[in-house]
Amino acid sequence: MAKRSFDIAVIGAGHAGVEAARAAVAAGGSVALVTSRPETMGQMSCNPAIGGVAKGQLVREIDALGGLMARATDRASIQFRMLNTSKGPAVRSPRSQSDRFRYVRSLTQLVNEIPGLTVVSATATAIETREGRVRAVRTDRGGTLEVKAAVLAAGTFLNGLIRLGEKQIPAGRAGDSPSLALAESLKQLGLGVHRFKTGTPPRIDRNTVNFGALTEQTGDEPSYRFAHFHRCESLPQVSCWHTRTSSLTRALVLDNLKLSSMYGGWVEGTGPRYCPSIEDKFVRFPQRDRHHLFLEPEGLDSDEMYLNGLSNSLPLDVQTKLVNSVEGLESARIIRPGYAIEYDCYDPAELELSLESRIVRGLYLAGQVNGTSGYEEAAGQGLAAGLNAALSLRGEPPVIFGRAQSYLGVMIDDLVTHGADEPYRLFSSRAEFRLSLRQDNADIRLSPLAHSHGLITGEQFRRVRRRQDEVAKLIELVRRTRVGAERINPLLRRCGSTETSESPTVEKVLRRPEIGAPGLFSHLGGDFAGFPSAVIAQVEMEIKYEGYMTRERSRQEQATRLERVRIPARLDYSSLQSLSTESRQRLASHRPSSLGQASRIPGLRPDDISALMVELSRRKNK
Amino acid sequence: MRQDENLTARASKTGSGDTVVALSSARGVGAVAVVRLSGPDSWAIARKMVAGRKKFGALSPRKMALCNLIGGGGELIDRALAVKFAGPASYTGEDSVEFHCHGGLAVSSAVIDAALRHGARSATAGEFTRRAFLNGRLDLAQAEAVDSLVHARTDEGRRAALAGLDGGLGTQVEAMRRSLIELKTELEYRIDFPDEAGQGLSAEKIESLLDDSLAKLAALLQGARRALLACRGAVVVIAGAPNVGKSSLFNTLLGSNRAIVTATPGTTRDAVESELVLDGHLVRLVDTAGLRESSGEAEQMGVEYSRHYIASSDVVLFVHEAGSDFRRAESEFLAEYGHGKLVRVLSKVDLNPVPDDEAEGFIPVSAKTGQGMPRLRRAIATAVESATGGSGEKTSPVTSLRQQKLLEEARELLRAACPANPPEIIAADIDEVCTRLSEITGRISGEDVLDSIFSRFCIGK
Repeated sequence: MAKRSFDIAVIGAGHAGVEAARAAVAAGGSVALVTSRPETMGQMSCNPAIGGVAKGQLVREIDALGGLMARATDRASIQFRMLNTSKGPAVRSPRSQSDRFRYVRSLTQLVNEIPGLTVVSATATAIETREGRVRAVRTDRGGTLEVKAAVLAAGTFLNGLIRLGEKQIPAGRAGDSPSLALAESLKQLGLGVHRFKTGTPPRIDRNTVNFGALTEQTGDEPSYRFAHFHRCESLPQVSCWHTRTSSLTRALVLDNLKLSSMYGGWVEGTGPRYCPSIEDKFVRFPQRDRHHLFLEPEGLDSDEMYLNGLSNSLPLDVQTKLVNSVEGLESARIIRPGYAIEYDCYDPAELELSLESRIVRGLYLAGQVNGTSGYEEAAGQGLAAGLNAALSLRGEPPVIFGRAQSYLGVMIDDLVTHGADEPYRLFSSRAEFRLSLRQDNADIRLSPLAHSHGLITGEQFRRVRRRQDEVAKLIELVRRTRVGAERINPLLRRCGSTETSESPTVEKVLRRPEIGAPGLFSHLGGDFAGFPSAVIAQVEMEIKYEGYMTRERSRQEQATRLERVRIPARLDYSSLQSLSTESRQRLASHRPSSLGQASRIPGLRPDDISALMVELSRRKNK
Repeated sequence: MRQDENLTARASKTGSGDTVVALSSARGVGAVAVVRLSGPDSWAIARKMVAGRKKFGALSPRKMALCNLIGGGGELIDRALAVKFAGPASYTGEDSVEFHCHGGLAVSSAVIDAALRHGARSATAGEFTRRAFLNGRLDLAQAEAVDSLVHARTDEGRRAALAGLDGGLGTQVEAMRRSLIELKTELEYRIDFPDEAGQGLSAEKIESLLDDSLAKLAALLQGARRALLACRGAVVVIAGAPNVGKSSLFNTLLGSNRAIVTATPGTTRDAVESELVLDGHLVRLVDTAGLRESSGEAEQMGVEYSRHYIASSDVVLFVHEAGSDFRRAESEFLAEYGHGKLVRVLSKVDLNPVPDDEAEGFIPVSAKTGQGMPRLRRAIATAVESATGGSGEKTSPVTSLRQQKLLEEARELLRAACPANPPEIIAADIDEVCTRLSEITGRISGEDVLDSIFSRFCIGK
């Protein structure tokens, strides 16, 4: 087939690949999206849900940067829940149960609407380089694509191997072939290969479930939208169902442990601790004899239900007994069994913060190939990789997302600074500036950057600015307005707060721990009514937790100062006599790009960082 | 020879690079001077400095041997005692050598020169202790205790510094930090896994856990003031109107003419400070400018200094000249400066004799004749004693103002933490407190709350 040439080839059209393609096109690149299955982009190979704690915030960030994930999520949402509503605004996180079939349809449509994007229906088989730089991507039936850069977003397909008991099936996921040729090509290029493992639970036929024995979990009112700039109609909302394992489940797992791929010694890859298989749960927490399980619908028109919590790699006959040992699933039928999958991924510590490989220039990696798990994590990296690939071809510096600025920045910095010993997932506790990194202000945090790189339109940017003005207006109102005792006391009484005999400012009332902003504003009504919940959440943070926000901002400034002190790429650490030998070795192997990044290398003392700072300023003055 | 190389190779794996040398005893004339070498090459360098290299090479660690130290031209520098230490069982944690040579600058300089010629580098101030810290032999609090110990002027100061050197502070602070991290683990678990967690921690439970840490901090801080006073000295300020004889009293207490004394009121403008030991208490005695409204700019600044010193003092010697209304002067002074620990003095009783029983709590003294001085000294010692919290209190391992300040900040932060706040806000408070606690020992925290979550809770919705 004829040779074709593009600026950038994106390999894989999963959650990472589609965002990479979108961002690269928006930043001005000519892009080929290479996928074996152009009709099903953005497959949810595991849990049919988007969002959750930290992940929900990340989806909002992706959307603020013009990404696709939030829009597809809104169109496919069949149950919405805001998690952590009993906690403060900083950790409230949106989560959507998604119709995975509608999700794929929506996402595929959104990708096909990207102007100028070429979708190449083929499997990538090799990356060709010249003098250490990417020059072409070879495919099996789409010819060779001459490119200046490539984004690798191949998910679990590289040397993918499904395990089910002692059975092993080479596969990218259930029903798809693995990428063996491409994996071999990447190995030849010298990338550091790891082997990770993940797993998925069985899917159950809803017609065989005894729902009477399960506890129903309904969602919230579906008024929330992940997308900032696009509205869509809500789909009919459905329930999830809660049940628990029984003592028989436990006995079955422990008796058949040797037959499990994990415990029978077949699996070599490292799995995630936060998403343990049912084998792991019973082995590692022997004192707990029952574990929670959730049945989640996979789609409005589908009979499949995802049995969250029962991920395992036992043989099919054992899995059937296992499922039938669960309350309400006594006669349930498995449509697809659970399985473990092992796949190649590459040490993210070999990447720059732009997600470009240090081993092969012009090659950017995103998603599970970097050792992460999760659709949201993949999408965020894809966006960053696609954007930076396009910027580099224009000779512009990469966008480095800061830890003080976004969960996206936290994730990329974690990966590049620490590498990944197990599949990486975002948690809110990974973010040291979490009070500022909220789902309600993702657009305010990121839209200036998004606008200056062409990721959102001028009109969208102005909308964010207008909302920012609303926040300022409400803060001003809260500080200025006094409210009479007779007007406020009924609310105080209701919330278990001490009644007042004065006319306090609204600010003073809001500062009471028992008083929440939404309740207060709706009680006051008038000028306080009608603000969107995101605006209210921002005002609540700024007023109620003012001291905390001030403290966090000053830490953010300090951190940003450290990030700004760049470390020359070729710095000879062995010449830095004032640092301990051990620290010099650590620094030489990590090669941090800034003092800030250096300060996060494990085992480096604050002392060594001070010494490094002195050395750097000495060099600068020379 | 082989043994030398082996040990050097081992030390350089854990050591801090180069080898340094310095005089470890005080500069000046003395019977013995100690020159210390520390670093991976210290044994090899020392070996080149002695006649009889084989004998030195075979010397076991922590055994002393007499040897001849040889200078540049092969001439004898000194006959000295040499002792090797093998890292990590040495002060710095590295291989090191000490030469105990004859005292005086000439000999020790020649020994240091020889070491430098053979490849050692001059140690910077405090570098041995810094290396001990970097090699994990001391935590930061202990390193500060070393500083306090070598500067201790009194027995009490020595005891307080030794208590710090024990690592007691580091251990207690670390234990407190760990229990706070445990609380944070609970909170983070509930934030990051809302579908897993059953009931949240009750506000009462959180409050009792925070109170627990608060009580521990308070206990550490209680003895801290006393320990710090023992290490750094209690500030005793001499205050009063101009020309009442404060500077004469200052000189008499010190037994030397440190402050200028004239008959002109307002002679003392700067605060003058000197140390003395009274009944085993280290006292920093401060003479200040007389307190009055003055037209002179310099004198007025002196008065400002006086106020400042009075405000930060541990004890004030309020001096009033015998023969005028001391009751009124006292109440005026107290009204303006209000001070807890006051020692009242009537001066110049040689000119205006005041019988003890008419002094009403004032101590009549004469700097000129020495009358009343022993009583005054006892009174100052008693006041210092009670200012430091009395002798019954146990000593605290706090040995520096820095440590005390960090502990106080940690306490304030914990006090301000409100258990009714949402968990991410309490977690933010705990982070701030833990940062202060880690700064005390200089240890990097390193632990991962997520690790702790995964090992304690069964995750996996």
